[in-house]
Amino acid sequence: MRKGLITACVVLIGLSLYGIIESSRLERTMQMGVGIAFFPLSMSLAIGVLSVILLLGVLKGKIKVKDEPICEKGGALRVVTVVAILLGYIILIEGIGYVPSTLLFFFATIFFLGKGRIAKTLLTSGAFTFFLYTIFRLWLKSPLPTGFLGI
Amino acid sequence: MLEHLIAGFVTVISPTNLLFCFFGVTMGTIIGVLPGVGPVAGTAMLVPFTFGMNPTTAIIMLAGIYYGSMYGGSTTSILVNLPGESASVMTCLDGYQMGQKGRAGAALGISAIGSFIAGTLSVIGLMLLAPPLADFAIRFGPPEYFALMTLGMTLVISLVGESMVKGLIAGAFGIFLGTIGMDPTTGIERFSYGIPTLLDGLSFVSVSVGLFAISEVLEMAERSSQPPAYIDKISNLLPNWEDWKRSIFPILRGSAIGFFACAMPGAGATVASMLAYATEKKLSKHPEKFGTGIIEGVAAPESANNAATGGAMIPLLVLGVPGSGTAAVMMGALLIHGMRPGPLLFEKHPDFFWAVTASMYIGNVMLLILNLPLVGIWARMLKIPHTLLIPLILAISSVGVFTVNNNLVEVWIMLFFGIVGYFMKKFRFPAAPVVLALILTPLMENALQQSLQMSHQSISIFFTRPISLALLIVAMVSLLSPFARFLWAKAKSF
Repeated sequence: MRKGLITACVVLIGLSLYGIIESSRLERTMQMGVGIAFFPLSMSLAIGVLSVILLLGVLKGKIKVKDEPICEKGGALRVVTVVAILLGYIILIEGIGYVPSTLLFFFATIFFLGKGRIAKTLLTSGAFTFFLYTIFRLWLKSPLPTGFLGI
Repeated sequence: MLEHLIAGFVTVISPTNLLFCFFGVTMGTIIGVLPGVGPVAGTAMLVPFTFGMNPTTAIIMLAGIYYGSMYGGSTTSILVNLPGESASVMTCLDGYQMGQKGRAGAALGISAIGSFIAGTLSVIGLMLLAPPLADFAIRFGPPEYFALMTLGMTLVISLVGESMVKGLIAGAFGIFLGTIGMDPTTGIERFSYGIPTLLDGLSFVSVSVGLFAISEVLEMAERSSQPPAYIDKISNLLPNWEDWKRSIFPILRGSAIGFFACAMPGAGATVASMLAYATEKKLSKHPEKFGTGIIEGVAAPESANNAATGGAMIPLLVLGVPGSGTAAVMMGALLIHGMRPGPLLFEKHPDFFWAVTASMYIGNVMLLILNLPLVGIWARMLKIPHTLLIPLILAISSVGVFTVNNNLVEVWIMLFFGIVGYFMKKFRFPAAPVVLALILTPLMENALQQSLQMSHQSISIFFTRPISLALLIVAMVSLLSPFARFLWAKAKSF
């Protein structure tokens, strides 16, 4: 956890530097008000200063961090896989449309997390896809991506 | 006032509003029962469902989710020692112990009845306090608004989470995100890099669904085990005379603490329930019995967290400053629906305020009916496997965010903030200040620009107007108090 928090502080310092550089390119003095760079620049500076304080606190041991792993054994793999499946879903939904991509998404996630039987997983995936279609398309009348298949 | 309230009831008893009030409180109860899905995540996830509705129906539904989740949260605390949402943590201490002694029914009963009494009292408080406060706040100009929003943010930052530094980083990060898009005054692009979706700024729906719902689901996916389901039969839900005698004052005190704690921005339902529990322990003749399964330990925090929802409506609706993550999501939803919360809301749309208030009375009655006889059904919801819950929440979130503007880029943004939120949870950075700041930044920037125009670029305008000065002093005190406490403790140790 300690290493993770140190990494988080470094990322935040990087974000702060990016914010400072990008904000400096914005025009700072305007005819009216404080200028469009005021908020992003001051907040980038604040993030930077506070992250350094946090980092020093962790390094010097003044901020107590629990000596435990960031996630439980096998947990990271499950999280990464779920994110990867969701990523695939977002990529596919526009290409092949809502129905096949959602069906695939449900099937992949339930199968991966539950390690259940294929037929049962397929049936559940179909039911969930239909349930969401009913809510969003038929009830809320929201347009859903149709893709080249038209569904 | 009475005629306004009657008009509010007339609006609410339309079939559509009643249906969505019922839908809101039912969804709220489910969200409260399911550990891992909190009221902020649930409200954010269901915001896209409101886009086809009129603003009144939308807020009736979202408010229903908010106070419904407080009712539902107690069920898992009492039955399996697992708070459904953070405001029910204190209920675990005595509620679960009562369950272990075979008194789960009485604990659930007093929790539902206490919640009903507290919820109703807080709506009365909202009804009595909101109009005069709105009359006062109508005199606010841009400097007062800027100061008020600054105060709202500093209070949330100082009270949410365990570390002030982390809270400040989260707040600054949220303000930075809030500046993405076109500047409200000059129309100049900031950090949008020619991406059309970013020109209007980051969508609060994508960010809040990502930070709250997706991150929670990722945490759920990480765990290999699932909380145990409660299998015993629940009986004797109605408290006996002795239970009543011991609970009535904790319920009344809890209601007052919850309402007033949350009428100020910053202290959410969790803080309110902790305060109520601590107060009861202090007032009790047998403080040592707290934590062993006494009914006062359930009645007080459950009443406080329900009264908190009514209190939280005051800064949100009257001042336009949300005091918690859920209130921030509700404010974002209101802005999407073209309603700007604040004192002008009373002047321009009194029907809206009174309809929402009336719906909270009706919603509380619905919740009492839902939570007493049907508690067994809610307890069985714990049996829903995470393997089904995870993909369902992810799909509802993704499709919901897509339908806001039929834009896939917003779903990418949701996923990005889901991952950010997951790591924020891991390193204990609070997410509420990010969403609050994201929503308030454009309004704050506008108020700052207008104030400076009024004063010909002099910041003295914030210090020469008494209300603005007072608000800024309180904001400063709230920010500096932890440092002052730290220095005081150091000085004392020498």
